[in-house]
Amino acid sequence: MAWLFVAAILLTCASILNYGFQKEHQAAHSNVEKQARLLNKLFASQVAAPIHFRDYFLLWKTIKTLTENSLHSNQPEFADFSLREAAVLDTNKKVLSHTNMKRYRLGTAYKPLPEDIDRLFTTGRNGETVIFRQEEHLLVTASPVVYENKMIGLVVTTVDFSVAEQLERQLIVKYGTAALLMLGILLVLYRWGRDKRVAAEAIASAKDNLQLILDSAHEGIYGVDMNGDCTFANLTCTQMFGYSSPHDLMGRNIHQLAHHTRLSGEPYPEDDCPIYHTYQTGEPTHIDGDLFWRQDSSSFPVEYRSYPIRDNDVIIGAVVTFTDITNRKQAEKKLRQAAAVFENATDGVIITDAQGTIVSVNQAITQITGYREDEVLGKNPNIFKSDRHDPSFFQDMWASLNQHDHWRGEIWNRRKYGEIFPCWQTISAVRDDQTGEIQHYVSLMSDITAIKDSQERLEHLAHHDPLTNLPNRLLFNDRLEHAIERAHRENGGIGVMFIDLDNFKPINDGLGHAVGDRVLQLVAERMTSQVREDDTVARISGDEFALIMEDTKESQDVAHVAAKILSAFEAPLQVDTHELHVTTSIGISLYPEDGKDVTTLVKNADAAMYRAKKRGKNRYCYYTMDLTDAAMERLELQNDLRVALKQNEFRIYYQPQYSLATGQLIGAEALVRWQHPKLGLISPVKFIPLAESTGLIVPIGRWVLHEACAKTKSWQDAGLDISRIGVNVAGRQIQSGDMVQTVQDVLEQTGLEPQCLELEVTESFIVRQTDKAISMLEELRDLGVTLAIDDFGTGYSALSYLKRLPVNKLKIDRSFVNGIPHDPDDEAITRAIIALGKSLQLQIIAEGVETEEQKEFIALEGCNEVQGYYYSPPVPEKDFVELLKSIE
Amino acid sequence: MTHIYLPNLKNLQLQLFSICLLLMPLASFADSEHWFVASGVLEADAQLVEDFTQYLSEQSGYPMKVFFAKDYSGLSDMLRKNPEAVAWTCGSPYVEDQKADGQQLIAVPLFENEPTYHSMVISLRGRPEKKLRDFNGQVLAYSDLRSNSGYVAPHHHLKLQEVNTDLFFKIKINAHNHVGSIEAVLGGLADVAAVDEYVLVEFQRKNPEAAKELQILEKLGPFPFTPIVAGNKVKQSILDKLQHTLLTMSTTRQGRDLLIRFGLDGFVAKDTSFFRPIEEMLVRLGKQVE
Repeated sequence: MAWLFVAAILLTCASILNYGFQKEHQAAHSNVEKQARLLNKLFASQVAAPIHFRDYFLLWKTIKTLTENSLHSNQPEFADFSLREAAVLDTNKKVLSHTNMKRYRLGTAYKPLPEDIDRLFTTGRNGETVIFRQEEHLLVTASPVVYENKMIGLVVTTVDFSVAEQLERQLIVKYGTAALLMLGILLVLYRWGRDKRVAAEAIASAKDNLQLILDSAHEGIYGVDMNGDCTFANLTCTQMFGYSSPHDLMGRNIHQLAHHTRLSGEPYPEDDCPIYHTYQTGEPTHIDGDLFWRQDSSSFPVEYRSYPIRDNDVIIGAVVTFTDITNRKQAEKKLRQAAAVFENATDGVIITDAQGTIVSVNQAITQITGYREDEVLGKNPNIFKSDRHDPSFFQDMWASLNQHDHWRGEIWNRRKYGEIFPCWQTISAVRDDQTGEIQHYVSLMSDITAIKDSQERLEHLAHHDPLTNLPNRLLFNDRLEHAIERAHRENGGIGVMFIDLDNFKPINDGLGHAVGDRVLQLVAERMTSQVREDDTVARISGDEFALIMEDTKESQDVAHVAAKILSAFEAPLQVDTHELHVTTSIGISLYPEDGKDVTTLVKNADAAMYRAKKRGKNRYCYYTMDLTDAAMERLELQNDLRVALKQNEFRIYYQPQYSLATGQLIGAEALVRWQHPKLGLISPVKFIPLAESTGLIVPIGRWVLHEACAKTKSWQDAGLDISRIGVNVAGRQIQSGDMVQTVQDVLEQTGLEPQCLELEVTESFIVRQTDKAISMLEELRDLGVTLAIDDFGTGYSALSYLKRLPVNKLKIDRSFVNGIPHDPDDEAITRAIIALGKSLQLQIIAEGVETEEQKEFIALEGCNEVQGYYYSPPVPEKDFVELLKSIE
Repeated sequence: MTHIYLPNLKNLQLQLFSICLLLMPLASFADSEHWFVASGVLEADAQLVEDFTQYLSEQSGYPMKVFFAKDYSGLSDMLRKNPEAVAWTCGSPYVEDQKADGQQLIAVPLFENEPTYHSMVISLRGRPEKKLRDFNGQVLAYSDLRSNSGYVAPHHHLKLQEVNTDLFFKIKINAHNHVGSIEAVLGGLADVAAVDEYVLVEFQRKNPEAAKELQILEKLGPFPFTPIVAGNKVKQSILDKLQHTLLTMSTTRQGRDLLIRFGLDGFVAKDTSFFRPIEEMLVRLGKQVE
């Protein structure tokens, strides 16, 4: 029976629904057609004038505007469809306008129309509209365009009424839903009874689960009703409050029990409490840093949140969750302390991450380096790099960090604005407790510039004399030590001088220490000015000074400097109003001759200094007496040489030269001699090198040239047969730069023909010269004089170089001639030189011929000229003149 | 300026009635004010022309009020009937009418610092035609029959290529203004158009996306730009003041603002001979140039 009843109800509902659905469907279709007609009529009325006036642009704009308007959703009369296209055709079915003119061009034929519409071109009347259903939901509507009672066109619109279809579907949904709803209600009633029992069981189970969740929570959780009385509490809450069971809290006012006092200790009224506020207003609260009290009256800081409990939107209480933040507070305190230390430390602190990127710095870093915090954060500490350390320094640093998690040392860094400064730096690696991986690097940086400066000052003071700022004995010994090591490695020489002021004591005692100090300073300055930059002048003690000369080649070099120092004190010292004459006594020791260690050299120099004092002061003495004697002799000779020219002490000796072919005397070589008033005739071997080293060779050479030319000219004038005179030219003369002018002047002054003068230049000088000297020789040759290479065979001339030289003659060095006939090598060399000269079309003269065999040999080999003791030694002028006369 | 200003009315009959109203001689307007006539101004630019007119009036001391003509013929008509009026005309109507009506040349605007402009032949991008000569049998849109850049120059250009311009195009559509010509090409109504370079530049600036659909086929010119003229009864002293105001626009703040809004660089004084190139075109096209 029940099922029959249900079936009857369902049938009735279905009938009602079907009736309603059909009615609405019919209404929807009727609406669409009505709207389509209306739209077409509107178009037709609007386009009549533009068509009549042939204003196609206005026509197009009108269609465009009407189309846009009809697509608006707020046009209720066109709500049930959308306009697909609108076409305006003329009476020939050609397009006048269209919603898509890119497809339907002006004046082109429109697509075929349904018959009912097509007939309108012929039978259309004003106001008539034809509707044609083209597809499922497309309607084509056509209306004639009439102007002044005449049809001038046709408007054809196509509308899409799938909107109406949608409405139909909505109807189906609406009525179908209603039917289903009724069925559903019946089912629900049936199940209601059965589910009621099942729901009760589910609620009970859910309650148990909830308690389990509450009790497993780490936070304390409790609930209160609108009076603030506890309605539930979890185990954690019970324990934190110091009770044994949640039942101990049930029904009790939690605020009065555990929240009655503020953090400051003042009483806490309940209606001031945020939790009270939550269950009064429904707003959740979050408080960090309040105080809860335990059963035993001890308190603990808490962070808590309270939320309202609602039942059907009615607040019935609140739930509170809280945690004990005692540990967190302590940790925060420690952190604040650490931060204070970090910020206020005077040493710079840099913290980087494991990759070395700076994550934190303190204020001191800015003071030390000049960089602001924002300028270094995110950067690598190598922004402080000074480039003063080589890569191995940093390799060692990292090796220490990797091995020991620590490094400390002195490092030079760079400040922001470029200044390099020394630091004492310690770097520590900080590792993660769990994984052991490096998390950070912490670096402490101390600026030790001041300390370094002090150290350097101390260092300087420890090694220098404060009065004169010269190195003191300590530094002197140290430097001498190093000099000896280097000289030993390089096989060099060192000169050590000890210099004592001869008459300092009376000055110091008589005029006072201030003057004495000033004298010492001036003495130091004068000495320093006489030595090379690499030499060391030191103040050993009192009025005693010392000097280290490194890289000395000969003992004379040291004597030369000693002589300069002595000369430096020829002029008096001016101290205030006093003109003070000070001399020095100098002792010299040489490495390695006089010692190979510091002590020995110093001792011997000191001894030599005392010897100098004994010998009369204001002089120098070598430790080795021979050297001293030789040096003194050289010095004396040098002094005498300076005055020799003035005092007319030079003489010229002449050695005749002969033609090997004819045996005739063809010329002579002029050789200078020195007639010393005390020492007698001094060989050129002794004084020429001295003249060259002092530069006196230039005036001497000029005198010799002039004298030789003058004499030769006078002999020629006297009718004597002398066609050529040979004069030696020293390298120094050519280097003086005015040789050409000198020769020219001499020839002019003496009247000697240039071709009668032969200048002899040593091969060893020529090969060392540049093109400048060559060009000077060319200039000399251009004067008309002849040029001969003297001592040929000893200078290592390159043949390619030789052929460029502007010379006329080669003079075979006597050393090769001397070996003839016993030394086959000398013979071979002599032969080769003769052959070479011949091939280069040069004259060859052999010098130093002393025997018949030598003469025969060179004659046989084709040598042109000869000179030597075999024929005649160099003779004084008087004897040479006699020789010339005898030839006559 | 070659745009028509029309009220925004949907009813076509009302629109036509408005046009008729505008064409009527409006002698009932105050005698103390003179007309400043402009043709083909878009609704959006109407305020600008109003502000310009006010500036000219204040600076020159010659009070003027704006009148928007339907087209250049209407503009010349206004000048003829109101010889104390001032107008911003086009080179072609000026050349055609200045002798007959005694129009007095005041100044020529500077566009991109030159007193000249071009006629730009445009079509839809992607079309195969490369020049105007390729549009035989197609649809042309133009702004005004008397417009130099919109009509005279392209026809002259075809004439030089020995084209019978009366038969060349299938249909010539009057788009009423240069922007209309551009829209007609964009909408597919016309296949090609020749438009004022100045107007095209402004259109491209304001409608960059739509402008991308266009392609410029040819650039005809340069031609003398649209002059500001006065009717034959405007005194020389007024002419001088008006000219001075125009030539010194860039020296005043308000003048500079107006120039910026116009997209112009100033005004320069020219004499009638400056428009000889247009005169020669019109003669070649068989127009009467007295």
